[in-house]
Amino acid sequence: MIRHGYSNCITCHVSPNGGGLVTPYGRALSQEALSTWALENESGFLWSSTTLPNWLNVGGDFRAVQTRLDTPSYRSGRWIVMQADAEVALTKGDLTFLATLGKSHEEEPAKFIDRFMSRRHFVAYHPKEEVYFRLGRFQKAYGINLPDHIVSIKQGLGWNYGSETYNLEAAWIDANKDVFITAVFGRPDDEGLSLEKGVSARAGINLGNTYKTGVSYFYGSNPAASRHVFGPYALLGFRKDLFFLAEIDFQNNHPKTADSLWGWAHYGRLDYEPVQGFHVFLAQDILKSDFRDSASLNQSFGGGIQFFPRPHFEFLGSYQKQRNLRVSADYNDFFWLMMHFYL
Amino acid sequence: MKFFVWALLTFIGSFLSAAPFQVTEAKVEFLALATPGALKISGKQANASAVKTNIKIDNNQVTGSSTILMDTFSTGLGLRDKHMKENYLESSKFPESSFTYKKLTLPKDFTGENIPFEGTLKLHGIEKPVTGLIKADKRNSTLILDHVFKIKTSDFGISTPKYMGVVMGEEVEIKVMLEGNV
Repeated sequence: MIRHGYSNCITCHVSPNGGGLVTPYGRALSQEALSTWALENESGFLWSSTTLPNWLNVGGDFRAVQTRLDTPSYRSGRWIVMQADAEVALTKGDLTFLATLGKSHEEEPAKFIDRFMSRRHFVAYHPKEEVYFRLGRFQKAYGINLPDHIVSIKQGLGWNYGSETYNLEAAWIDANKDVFITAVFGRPDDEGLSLEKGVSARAGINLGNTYKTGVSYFYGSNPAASRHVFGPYALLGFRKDLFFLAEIDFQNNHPKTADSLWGWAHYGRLDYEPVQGFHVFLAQDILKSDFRDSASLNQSFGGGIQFFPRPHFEFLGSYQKQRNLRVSADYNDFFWLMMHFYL
Repeated sequence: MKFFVWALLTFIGSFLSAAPFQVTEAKVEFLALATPGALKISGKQANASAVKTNIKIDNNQVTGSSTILMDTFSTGLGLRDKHMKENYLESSKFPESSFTYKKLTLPKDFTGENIPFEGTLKLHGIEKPVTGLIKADKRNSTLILDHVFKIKTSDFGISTPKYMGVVMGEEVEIKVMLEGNV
């Protein structure tokens, strides 16, 4: 949304760092600025068939993907339901409580309760205009908040869907800058996951109305390793129909039983919107976990289309040439079809 | 008799020295902040011919006025423009806004410093004095005047713009750029 002058997520999302449940304004904006077609009030919860009180916000997301990988030796495809969540936010004065409940990622849940999970739940405190505090389980603020979690700067750095941790976050958000500082407590409810504990910081500055850049830093450790991750990111809205997103992260990984490794991850996307709601894009994605080991390179480049035909619906199709030098020097063909629906 | 002729010529001469400022390009922009998220709402006139000026410069004193058609402002989002014009600026009822210089003395040398100015702004049917700063630049016969001033929407009887929980602040910064020949 940077190209429309929306540099801070909190205008449209309940979460100060964006993602998930949108505010009534965010719903209106999705209709006005994102969708190709829309009827009046179409973007409202349940198509505005019901009116919620001001203190209550309800939503839900269903996100699924069909992948296909063509290699010289085999072909494979997967249908993955990435997210099927209901989400509720209750606001009373300066306090907001938000929780999701949805399908867990357990493939063979042992107990009925294991079929469900709450990937995000937190209490947010907003004592003054620029200041936000959050305590609970959510994805820490680091770099660009992309829903496309398979890219190197998310999955490649270990921050996939389902990697949300328990955190305490303080944020300052004003017209020209934002700063997020997060204490990361891992998953004390499930130490078996060995998710990292540490600290994360992100600072961004607005350059004009449609450009934003910043830097991020993360330090985390678990029983197996500790690491520093840091790097710049940029959101550049050249025009209302043309924008560029880029992030570069350097990682210094210290395994407990081996030498430390330096590596990097990079993601860039150039996006053009010839018709409102219809995007064509070029993207490249690089992950090299060890500069000294040429085989540690994963890279992909390609393009795709993203389509927001009407409020509540999003489709993304992407074709990439990708290779993992650990497996082969040849490029494979990777197709990715994503469908997202929100209530 | 000689004195009378001298006085008449002096009067006519001073009148002729009030050179018109022929504006060839005009840009008007505004910027306001909204909450939450310190959202910047900016707008500009989409139509260059929406600004009409009648400005004179006499011994570096600037006098005259400018008007702008309010319906020509755009913020980049259609629904927001509709609300701005229909609910807040009420541009069908108050189609024009005007500004009249009260006090502006251009410098002898154009060194890029900020010059204070005073004027009267008529917006939403209400006239109020405003003050601001101008940066003036002159190259040959081309003069560029960059005005910056702030107003409060409530001073002009404009109710606080709000929509779906997003509320715009009262303070609006206005930038006016006039380029022309003297």
